[in-house]
Amino acid sequence: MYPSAFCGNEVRAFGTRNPRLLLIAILALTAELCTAGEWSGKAVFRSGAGLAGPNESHRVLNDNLLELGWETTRGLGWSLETRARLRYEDELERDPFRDFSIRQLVVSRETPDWSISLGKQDFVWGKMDAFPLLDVVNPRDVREFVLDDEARSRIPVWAGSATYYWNSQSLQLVVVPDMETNRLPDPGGRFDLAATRLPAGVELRINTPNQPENYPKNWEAGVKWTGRAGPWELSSLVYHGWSNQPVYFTEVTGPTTLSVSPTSVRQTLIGVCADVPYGSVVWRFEALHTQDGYRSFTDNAGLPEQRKQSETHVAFGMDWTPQNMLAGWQVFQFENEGEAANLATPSGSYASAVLEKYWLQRQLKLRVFGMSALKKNDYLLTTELHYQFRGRYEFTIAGDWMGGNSSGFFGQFDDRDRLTVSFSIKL
Amino acid sequence: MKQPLLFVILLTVVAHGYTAEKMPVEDAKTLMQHSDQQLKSKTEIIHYTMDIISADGKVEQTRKFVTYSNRNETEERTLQKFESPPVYEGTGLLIVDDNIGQNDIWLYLPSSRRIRRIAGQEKSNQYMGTEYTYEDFEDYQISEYDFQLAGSGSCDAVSGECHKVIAIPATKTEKQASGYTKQIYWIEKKSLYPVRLELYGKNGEIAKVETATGIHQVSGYWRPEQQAMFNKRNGRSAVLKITGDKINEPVEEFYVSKRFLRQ
Repeated sequence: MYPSAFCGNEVRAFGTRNPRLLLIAILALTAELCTAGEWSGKAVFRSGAGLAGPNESHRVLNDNLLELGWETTRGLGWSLETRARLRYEDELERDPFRDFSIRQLVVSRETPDWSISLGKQDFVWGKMDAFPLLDVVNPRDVREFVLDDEARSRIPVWAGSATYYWNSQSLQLVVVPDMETNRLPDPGGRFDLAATRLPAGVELRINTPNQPENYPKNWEAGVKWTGRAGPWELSSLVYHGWSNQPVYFTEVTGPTTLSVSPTSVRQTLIGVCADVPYGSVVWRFEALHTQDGYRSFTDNAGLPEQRKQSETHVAFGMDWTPQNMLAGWQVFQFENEGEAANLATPSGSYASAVLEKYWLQRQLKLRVFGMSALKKNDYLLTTELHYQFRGRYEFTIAGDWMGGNSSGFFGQFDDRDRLTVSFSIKL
Repeated sequence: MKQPLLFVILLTVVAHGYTAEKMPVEDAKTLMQHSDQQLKSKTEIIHYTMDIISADGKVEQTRKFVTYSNRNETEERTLQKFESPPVYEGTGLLIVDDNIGQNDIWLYLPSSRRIRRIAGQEKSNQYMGTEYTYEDFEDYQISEYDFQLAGSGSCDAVSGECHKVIAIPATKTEKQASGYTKQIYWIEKKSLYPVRLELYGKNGEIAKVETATGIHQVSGYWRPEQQAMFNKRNGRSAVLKITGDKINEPVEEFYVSKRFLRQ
């Protein structure tokens, strides 16, 4: 996910358009697989509730999730992985969120030299914690801002992937016929970005999103190379896709009315990442560049305006894993600084730190993650305590605090602190 | 074609047994090299059941995992993958030992679907909350240690006669990375298998004891039926029972790669 993904407005994700040919191909292969290999099933149930911080006095999250999965034995040869999710949430936004989605439906063929997968899947390419810059393929569900679990918020896409392996290197080609965008908060939602920054009395009119037609010329495609140079593990990628976050072209349509046209734009992303162990720590580095970024400026009349401008995001950090612990820090430079005063985007320099500590044979885990903008002096602090028992149950209590400068990326949600508790069962 | 092959296998098995028991012990390093050869097959797939046992002897949790090993002239790759319980299912670890410096270690956690690289120097960390550490799964690291014979006699709690060998970290890197200052091996004379291992902590006191029982031959290699690691500091232990072992059957490189780790 790259940071411009958070330059949000109150527009829902564009609709999913299942590519029929891909689905038919998968079903045909699935029928073949049903007669081969061993099958195993999985189930996860999770229920979570959130209570507001001191400024509010009501429940702010009622999240219930059931995931059912079914897969063949993995290894060389053909395999199939399926996972479907039923989710119900009725506090985060004005309207209850009922969602049934296929999280994984992937037919794979592994040979010693090749790996081919077809179906609904996700691609984990980045190495950084919390904000992996190189996770460019899958959009995110950001209805809970950045507070939702990373894997849970990743939106799988219909895609085909082929990877060739030789020596210690690999080359992966990914084609995504189905464009999806981030799932953003509804108007009035708890983390509705626009609500926090529009001047009083200004009415915002959202036009129908401009999204590309589903033709092959509009497909997304990328190539990723991974290799070794001594102890260094290196990756580079080029990805020609559509922005996960639409660009909001703004137009004044009346004395107090703004019209916004959310438009997906073509982007070519170039990224590199590396990691290397040094002594008892591992260093990580990621960078992502696009020539086709859009940045928000304030025009002469004081109104927001979108202009095409290149963007480069850079991150580096290290982590250290002493006994039953993980400690690390990262520095991010997000170069999409908007000059419009009313835009709260993750621009500029940020520093983050993470601490994970385990007790009781890893049954009890404490995780503290903090991130702060170095210039705007706003911050995010999340603390989670997980307790696993009997090998299948987990109880979690977590606190999320944001504060500081109200024009900051985190500071805009200064009054959205919360405490959440959740319980999950894995079968 | 089958008969000559069978003859070679039988000869190898007999030779293993003969050289092991009758081998003159010139020095400790040579003994450890011979033991190392006895331990190391080209490939191996082992299915384990691990009981995690509290200080009062209660089995708190049982985990199942499988280990794939593939060795060649330049490197040794080991991949471990948990099969149960559900909270650990899919969690995996890949260790690559290229005999140059510290091992490469990668950990895969299904909850994030991300592979995290771990510094090889942190090998003294507990392994998945058990009494084992990452380095307990390493080989003898012969080039990194000084070995010294400390006599021979009863294997102490395990039937048979044993050579007793003291191993002390010899290189600066190993002294820093290892969680132990001294290791004492009881190498069974018949099998050259380390049936008992005493591990001494940084304070110089004995920290853990590992025992291997039910030593038997699998495809010409001596293997235990059960291994137990007892932590003297907290009274806890982890017992590994081998439920399946395949030696020198083809293990494609795929099964000791990050590709399989992520699956």
